[in-house]
Amino acid sequence: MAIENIAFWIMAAAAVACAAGMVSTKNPIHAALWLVGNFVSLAVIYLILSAPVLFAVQLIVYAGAIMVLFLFVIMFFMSPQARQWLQPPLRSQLLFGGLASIALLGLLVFGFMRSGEQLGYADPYKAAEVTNAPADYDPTADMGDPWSLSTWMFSYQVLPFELTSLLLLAALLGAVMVARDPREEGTGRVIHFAGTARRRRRTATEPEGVEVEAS
Amino acid sequence: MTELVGNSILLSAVLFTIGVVGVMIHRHPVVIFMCIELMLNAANLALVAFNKHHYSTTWKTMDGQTYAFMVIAIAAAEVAIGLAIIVSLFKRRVRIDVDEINLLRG
Repeated sequence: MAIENIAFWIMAAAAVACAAGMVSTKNPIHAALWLVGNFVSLAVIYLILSAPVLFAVQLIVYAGAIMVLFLFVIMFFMSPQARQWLQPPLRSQLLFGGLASIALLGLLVFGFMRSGEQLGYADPYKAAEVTNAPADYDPTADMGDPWSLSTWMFSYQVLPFELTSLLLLAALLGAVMVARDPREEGTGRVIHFAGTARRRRRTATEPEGVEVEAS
Repeated sequence: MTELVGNSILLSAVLFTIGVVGVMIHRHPVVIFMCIELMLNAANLALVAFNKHHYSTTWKTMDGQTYAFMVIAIAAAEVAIGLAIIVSLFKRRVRIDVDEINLLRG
């Protein structure tokens, strides 16, 4: 119990620090790496919250696949010569964004604290306390292992699961359709990505923004 | 254990707020997108924590973790579509700023 709490606090501090670093950095690659740190600390918190399957899925899908996609896009399409990659926020953006965020955080925390009272618990932390159980009894001992998660998922959530596969297929086709360039359609030409950033800055006013070349 | 659940919900609220701050103060679509991922992760953390809160020997519910699982899958789909849109923006423009993107056609 105690070591769980210690690990939770360490990982929570790491998650908040990584999130703050991501929001405050000027370099998008640094932002992506901060976000990887945040995902890894959140994965460890999933492990503490007895969700080992989600721990693995978080590491594989988020820290692996999604962040590789982000870094891929950033490194392919953003010019490293640019002195300041991200525009600094406007003053009014900082002011109103900060005010709205403080209000939102207050609302979330207030709602959480209040929900415990509404449900009849004076202290929301004590909401799930098990009465008349042995002191060393842990009801969540076998919680979240692959067997219990998959049994539940394929007993009660089969339709959403199958619809998710359909959605992934649609997203795959949609991503290909959106990212293709209709001007290169059927011409047999290939886009040379290397050097497009340097070339693009020079020909910024031209309607043809992409450098193409016969293959 | 119960302390852990409450603290996780508070951590989730903090992370969600940081994501909202990022969305509001940044103007580059890639970074805004990362902040949206952060908010999705905060929501996932809340789902997992509430799952732990409601799990008992008589009712071995796994709904929260199942939803978190599907949120991760849908986030992957969303990232694929969103980054495809951003790639097509990069191919057409030099300076990417969400204030300047105001047309639906290319």
